[in-house]
Amino acid sequence: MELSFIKRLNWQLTGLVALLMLISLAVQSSNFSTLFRPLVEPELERKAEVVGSYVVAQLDRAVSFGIEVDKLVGVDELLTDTLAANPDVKYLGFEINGRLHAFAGDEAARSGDRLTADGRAADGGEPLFIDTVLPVEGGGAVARLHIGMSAGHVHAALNEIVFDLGSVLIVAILLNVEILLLVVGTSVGAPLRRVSEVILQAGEGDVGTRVNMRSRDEVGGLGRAIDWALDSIHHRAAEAAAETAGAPAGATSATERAGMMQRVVELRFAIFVFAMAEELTRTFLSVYIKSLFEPIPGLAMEMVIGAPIALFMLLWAISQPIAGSLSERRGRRVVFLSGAMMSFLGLLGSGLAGDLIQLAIARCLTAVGYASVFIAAQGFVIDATDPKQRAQAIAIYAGGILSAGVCGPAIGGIVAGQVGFRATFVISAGLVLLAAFMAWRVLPRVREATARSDRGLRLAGGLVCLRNPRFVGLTIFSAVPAKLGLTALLFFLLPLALDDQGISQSWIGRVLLIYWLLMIFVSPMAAKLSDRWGQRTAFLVLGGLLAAAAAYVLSLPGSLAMALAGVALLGVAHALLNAPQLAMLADVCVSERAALGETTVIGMFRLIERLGSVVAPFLAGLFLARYGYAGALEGIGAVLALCVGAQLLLTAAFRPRPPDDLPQRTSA
Amino acid sequence: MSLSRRSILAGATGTLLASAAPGFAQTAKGGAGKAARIVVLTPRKDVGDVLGLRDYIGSSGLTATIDVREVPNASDVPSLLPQIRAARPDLVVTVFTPLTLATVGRHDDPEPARFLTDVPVVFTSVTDPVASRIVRSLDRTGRAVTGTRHIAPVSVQLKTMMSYRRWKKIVAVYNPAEDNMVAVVRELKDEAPRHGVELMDAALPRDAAGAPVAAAIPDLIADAARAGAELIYIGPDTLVASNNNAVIAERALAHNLATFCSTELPIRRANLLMGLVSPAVNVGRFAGLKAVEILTGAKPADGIPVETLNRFSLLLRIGAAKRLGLYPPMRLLNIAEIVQDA
Repeated sequence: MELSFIKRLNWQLTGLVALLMLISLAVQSSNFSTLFRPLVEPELERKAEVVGSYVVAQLDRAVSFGIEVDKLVGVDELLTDTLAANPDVKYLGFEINGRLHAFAGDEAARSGDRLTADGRAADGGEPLFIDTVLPVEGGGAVARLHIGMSAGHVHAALNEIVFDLGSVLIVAILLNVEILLLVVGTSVGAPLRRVSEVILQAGEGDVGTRVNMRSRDEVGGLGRAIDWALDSIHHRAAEAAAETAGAPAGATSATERAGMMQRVVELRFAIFVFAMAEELTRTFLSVYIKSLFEPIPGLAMEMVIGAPIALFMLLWAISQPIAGSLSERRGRRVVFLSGAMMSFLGLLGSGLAGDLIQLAIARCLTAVGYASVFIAAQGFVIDATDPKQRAQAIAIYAGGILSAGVCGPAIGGIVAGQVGFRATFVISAGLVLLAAFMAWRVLPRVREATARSDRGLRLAGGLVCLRNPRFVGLTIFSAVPAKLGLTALLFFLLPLALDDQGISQSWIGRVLLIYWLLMIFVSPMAAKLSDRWGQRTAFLVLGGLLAAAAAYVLSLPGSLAMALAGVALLGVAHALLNAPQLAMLADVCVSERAALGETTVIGMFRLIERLGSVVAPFLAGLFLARYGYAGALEGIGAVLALCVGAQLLLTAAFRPRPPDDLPQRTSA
Repeated sequence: MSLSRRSILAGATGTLLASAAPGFAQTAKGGAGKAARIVVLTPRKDVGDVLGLRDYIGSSGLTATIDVREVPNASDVPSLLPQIRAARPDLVVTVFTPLTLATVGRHDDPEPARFLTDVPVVFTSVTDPVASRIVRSLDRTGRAVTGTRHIAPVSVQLKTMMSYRRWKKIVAVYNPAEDNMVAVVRELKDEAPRHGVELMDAALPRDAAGAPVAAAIPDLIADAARAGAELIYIGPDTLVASNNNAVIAERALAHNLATFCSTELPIRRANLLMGLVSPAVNVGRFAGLKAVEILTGAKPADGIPVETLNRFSLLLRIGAAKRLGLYPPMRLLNIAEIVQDA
């Protein structure tokens, strides 16, 4: 294709940058220990001293009353109480004349009545604990209090930094791709395309068009050289023959098209930034909602906290077709910008919300804004391209959204961990403004004079699709469960469950990152394989079952490792579903596509699919209220598995119709 | 005028509270500028309750004369009553259960005229005014009698004892002639199984005339020690706790038994091990608050509930612990007030 050079350049540069960053990360992390340990360890010892002196003061007071130090009663309880109040401390040991009189905490630090882990590890390995010793007033005896801090604490903190840097690295690489696409597209791709358009026209005999590039770089020089060459040819031709009017209309349309493709690339970046704004809040949205929860009589908490997410999805689904037809009548630009303003206000409102009602209203506003922005942008992409380029253009546009899905949660998790939930919403609102500004510059001020109604979704026409049982089977039992699984598991239950287990926002972000990474890498492979083998149903069934299995894996105890495995499995499952679903849709709705047009069929499919997202939070909330986290995850898995079964049954009942359209057999 | 009033603030003890009661801050009942007259009946003048009461009334801005009368035996009260009625006080304050009961009688007594009924009465340090039938209920007393209690709830007392050691057997030595003690011991017996401990009943025997015999205390303690008791419980008992605490402390140490006391004075005076108490001064101040509320007319005398302070002090005597070889656990030691041996 046209972009292959740019693509290659892109990947080569990205690969190089990634490699360099990986090397630097590896070098840095191996030095972290020596760099940071001297900074962290004294801090830990200070903390140990503070906790220890509190205990020592109490022991000293008891001794001052005349109680012999070895006759003190209930020191174990005192140490246990203190340990419970200071979770950083790993053990407390009260030692008299070298023997432990009382001990609380990690049993690994002692053997019998001797303290073993006082900093000098016997086997010469890394010590488990950092031991701090404080003297206790002991009369004749030597009494000491040992306070053990985890030596692994330093290690864990450093690991955390490395993981954060790793997530940032992945995000940086994707950001790199986005920016390279934009820069290379603007300064190389688009000018080259324009040059070839002009030369092609010249070849067809029209020497009236010029490249007209002002940039002073090498590509600009090439443009000027061609213009000069065309000028001199034009002069000579003008002497020989009468000047022809050329074909200015055709010429402009051709060059305009090249410019439009450029605009699609630029819009991709705007959409990437915009989608990122939503994805930033992904890891903590459900936790944030929970924090605002106030009891509503007669409703379980889990149901109530599902409501804002469900409302969001519902309004998105409803407002998308409306905003779509509005943008056809009023112009993409207006709808995009007003949608962005709504999202901006919505995100700001979400960050400032004082209670659940306010948050729900803000989320609704955001949802309408999002739907408007995405449908307007998609409409622009369709307007700006001819059918030949359209698939590629939509792929460019959708790529931006997918990249944002990877970058957003990972960065959002880190940001939320640093500045808190509310501030992250405000940052998201800022990103929306940025995206709006970019779109303001990219989207054409005048709306296209086109009013082709087949582009929008015609609901009445779409209902025809519902008469096709195979369409229904595909949408209701494959597409809807996929969205249901995504929303219920990834957007709702998992962040709540992980937060409940005390897992940091950064880690939740990393876990979600896995899903999108696998989507990006496995989807194209799955698409190719399913095309090659033609086994659509097999892919759909396998994907569905894997998604159900993923839900089951997520429900297993073992927190982080299981969560990572489950999310990875879900990513693979949905990657397997993605392309085969659309291909299957094309196979299933041959007659509908002919009658209604491709867009209406796909639009109908997408609309119904979104129902899954709407139902998901309620269903998940219901399960959660009844059965707890593990039960809710298993429950969603069971629903997903049932859907696969239903889909299989429907497929078996309604075999592909022969082309001459025989009367349908009745279903079993 | 106000100056002269200050000069008559002298109570029976001759203590002046003038400095604490600015005369011009007139809020006394009736508003006619008359000092309120308070009569206090107490077994001893130096109990903390009386000190606290004086202190509170003095600092409240109320001008009042406080006439403290020492009445060691409750049986002397009936002969005193005509004299008190004649003095026409605005309020009478009674200290401890026996004097209170002798002054106001039971709320359902068939002959109320035998008692003081025309003057509001505030009592202090009464263990269980409902069980002793001084009032109908704590919230609605049913007559112009209210006051303060000084004993922690029995379950809290038991919990405190059990957090010192997991005792197996506790013995309650008490005077069965004191109604409040009978009530306390009954409650202890109900609560004890919940805390995994057995309660042994060691009521003082009575002589031929039905009077309790305090001289039997050493024998009761010796018997209890033989029966395997580890701790002696001493309740809010006038005969045992107030008048015989030294004997109990000495006999308990001799038999290596721990002691727990629910009132303040015995553990401060005698060599007892521990106590969970409302400091008497604070209880007296609380009674003072109720007295002021009645005298200023802020609340009707029959509309003030009977209350207990909800903070208690844990007193520990390390000297006794040392002699018993039973040191207090660190958790208790950290929250306790340590009573030093005299």
